[in-house]
Amino acid sequence: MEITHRQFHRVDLLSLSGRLDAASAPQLREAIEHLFHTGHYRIVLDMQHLAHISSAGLRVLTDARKRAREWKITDLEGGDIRLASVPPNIGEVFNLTGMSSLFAIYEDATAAVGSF
Amino acid sequence: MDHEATVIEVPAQWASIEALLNFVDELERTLALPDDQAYLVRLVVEEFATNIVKYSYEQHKQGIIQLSCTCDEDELRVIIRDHGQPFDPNYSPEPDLSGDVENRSVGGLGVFLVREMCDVLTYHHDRASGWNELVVIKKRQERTDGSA
Repeated sequence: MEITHRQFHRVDLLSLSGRLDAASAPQLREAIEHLFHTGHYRIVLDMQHLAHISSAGLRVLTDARKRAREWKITDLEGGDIRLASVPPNIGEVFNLTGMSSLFAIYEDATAAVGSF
Repeated sequence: MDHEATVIEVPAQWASIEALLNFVDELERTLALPDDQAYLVRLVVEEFATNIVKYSYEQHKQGIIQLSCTCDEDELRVIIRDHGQPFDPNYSPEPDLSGDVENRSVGGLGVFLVREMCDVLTYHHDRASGWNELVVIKKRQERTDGSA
């Protein structure tokens, strides 16, 4: 899997390409942990070019969301992991596992970045 | 169009998962699998081979995993065999998909996903030989354009 990082004023955008499986999940976990360690808790994951996700990938997403949301500026504002451009096959996995109700999902990265 | 069974046997170790997934890459190319079948075969191999490495050979240490795959114009059939602890995924507990999604455990999601996405999942443990055999079938979706 390839991860491309783009930093905006308030938000970090990670664009994922390839497969998020047991082999690559530690790579994404490390990339997100690096952002947390540098005080960046508003993160968008662009999934436009993501071809596959397994339970190992889902675990990274749910763990990261929980960590991000623990960081709060006010009761209404704080960290979050938001998703963009989720392909249909990955959307099906999110629907089957209830993840689609857990994450805020946007049509594209611009909308997701702008939502913070 | 029928394809001969394609088979690989690897030691039940973490390092073998990559070899199995590379084998899936090759299957996707040689069998020209449609997207839904390609997604499922990768999911089956990752989720179940990972479980076998984690749990099946805890006591034995030197186990193996056999993976074979066949497909024809009707269905894809994935067979995973091992010689470790019996585990029937049909009796695996359902993951908690309701209630507090924020704090729920994601354990059991892999088996659940495979069960939901396949058409048939059967498991057999042969007491005499000790072999476990998991068979996962995904039927080819009917074309909607009216062509054969």
